[in-house]
Amino acid sequence: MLDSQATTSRADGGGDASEPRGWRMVPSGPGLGTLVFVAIAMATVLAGGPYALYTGTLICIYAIVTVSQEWILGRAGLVSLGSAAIMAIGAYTTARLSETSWGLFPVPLLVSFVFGGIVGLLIGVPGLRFKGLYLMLTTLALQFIVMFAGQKYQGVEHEAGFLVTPPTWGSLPLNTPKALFIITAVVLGLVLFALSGIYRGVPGRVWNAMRQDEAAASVLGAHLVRWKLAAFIGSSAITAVGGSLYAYQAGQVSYNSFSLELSLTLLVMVFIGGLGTLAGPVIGAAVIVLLPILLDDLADAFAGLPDVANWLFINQATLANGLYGLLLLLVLLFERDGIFGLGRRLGRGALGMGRRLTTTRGEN
Amino acid sequence: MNADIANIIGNGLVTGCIYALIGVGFVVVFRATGVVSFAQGAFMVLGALIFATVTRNGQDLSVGLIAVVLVMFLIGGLIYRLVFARLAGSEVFVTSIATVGLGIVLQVVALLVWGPEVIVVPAPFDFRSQVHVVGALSFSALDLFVMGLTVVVFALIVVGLQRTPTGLRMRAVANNPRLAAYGGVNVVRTSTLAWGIGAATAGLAGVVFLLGSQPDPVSVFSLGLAAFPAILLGGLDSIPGSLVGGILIGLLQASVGVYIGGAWQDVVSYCVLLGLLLIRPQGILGSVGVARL
Repeated sequence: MLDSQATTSRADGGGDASEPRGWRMVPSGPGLGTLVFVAIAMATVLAGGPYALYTGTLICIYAIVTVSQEWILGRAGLVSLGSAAIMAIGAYTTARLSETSWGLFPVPLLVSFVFGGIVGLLIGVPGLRFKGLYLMLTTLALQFIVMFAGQKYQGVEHEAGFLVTPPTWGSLPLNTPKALFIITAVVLGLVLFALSGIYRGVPGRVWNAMRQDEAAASVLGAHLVRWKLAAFIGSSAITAVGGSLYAYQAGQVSYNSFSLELSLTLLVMVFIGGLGTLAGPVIGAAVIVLLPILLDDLADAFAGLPDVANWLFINQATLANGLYGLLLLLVLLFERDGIFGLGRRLGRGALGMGRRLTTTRGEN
Repeated sequence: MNADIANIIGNGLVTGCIYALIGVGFVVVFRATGVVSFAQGAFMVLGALIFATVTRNGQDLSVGLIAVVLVMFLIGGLIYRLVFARLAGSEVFVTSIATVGLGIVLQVVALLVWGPEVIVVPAPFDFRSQVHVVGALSFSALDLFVMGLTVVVFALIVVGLQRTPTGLRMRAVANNPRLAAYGGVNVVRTSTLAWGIGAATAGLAGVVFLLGSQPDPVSVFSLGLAAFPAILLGGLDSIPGSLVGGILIGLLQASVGVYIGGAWQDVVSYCVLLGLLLIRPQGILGSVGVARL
């Protein structure tokens, strides 16, 4: 009977009673603990070798995208399956601009931002007339159409992809691992800063009200489609910036880097990290980027058993994929707030007074 | 009738039947539990691999098909009990993302157990032999088998839903789960049945695709996503719609293949999907309420 009642709420299509715990109304600025943690993480990566810098940059790029995806998922309650396609738009823009006089860094980033927003508008208008499901299907179509258009655009001449001219400032090269890491970290910081401001202000409250009860929010004067569209345009613009930075790091842009798998992986990152916070998607991005590296170490650990080590080595990519999927299911079933929510809960349980250290959010 | 048109009808009907088999499972699951399943592709992979395993061991076609239906039915039901019964009442985006996760897990299990190689099966019958129909139009034995299987599956599902007590319960749950529960229908059991049917028809679609083109697991999985334009065209909640949408998209893709080029097939059907969302989001036979879901 309980189940039947729960099932009905989707048929009603209205506001949902199953509100995950721990979603707070108004976020405050980052706590001291967060700042210390970020400083330590930055210092560790900067002190590390090129591989640490590469990994750190990748985490920052994905985090830019996942944070922007969390904007539409966690705030507006919409799912996009086309985040990789929008990244591709930023990446192509960057590759094509980098060899022209518009290629002066950070101009391609800004142009990508604008183009991403425009694509968000074009896709959002048909996709948002109805509830979330249709945006999923529209973005799925976008994903395939962009992949196809990219393939045609590259043609035979650029089959391996467009080369990105390395960014420079005068004689200062910006594509060294260290410079790239600092650039992506700064962009991520700017995105987080801007979003925390937006979420704390009126728009954040409107999205929050919409997510809790669309009908009530609409009665209170929120134009649902307009606010959803705003979130989708903004998140697409930031996602395209992520794609632009991806192009700079990869040095080459080809359609097959931006497949549906990437879109799905990005979604997995957001869910695993946790919805409703800014830290969640960043943590999700870090976990998913680091997971294959941990599997690598696991293969090394089994060096004594050549069969096991070999099997792990051959199936590494597949196993990592399967772990994402499994983690996603576990998060959805048992800990809707993701790793961040779990960590916060454990932290609270372990030391009630240490809450400021484990949360970026205050109570209100 | 010229050869091009015969070609389009032949290929279009067969592709359309595969889409219809994927779609009907999707619709049954969607109607009963409101879950938008992105896992149909993974069920197809499992179906194809189970069929390959059984027939490679010397069993014939019918044993293979029965094994696929039974095993996939159990897998689908089990997955509903383990995952989606627990997620009942969640937002659509949560359950549909869960099917994405499920699809990834099932695909990985399939790849780890069976490997990523092209799936090979012994020919269960002489399916290249041509049967002449009219003019230039002729079907291979395989084409006829695919169409016959699709007709049987749809007939069973439609008759089952309209003429049996279980079908009545399933329609009641699809119509209003709470009222059905008050009326004494076991919603969980009915939904389990729906997931079983959804997985079984997807498994059959996988078998049919496997017989026609000897694919690798990953391309079987992708075909599950390629069926979305067909499902939406027919209407997300309409069982006849899944057949109509499947056949129409199949014919469209076949014409694109003949007149423009095979590379354009998928992108054209996704453009149809986009256009449809602008003009008629409920699809040809879907109910208007679903568009507002």
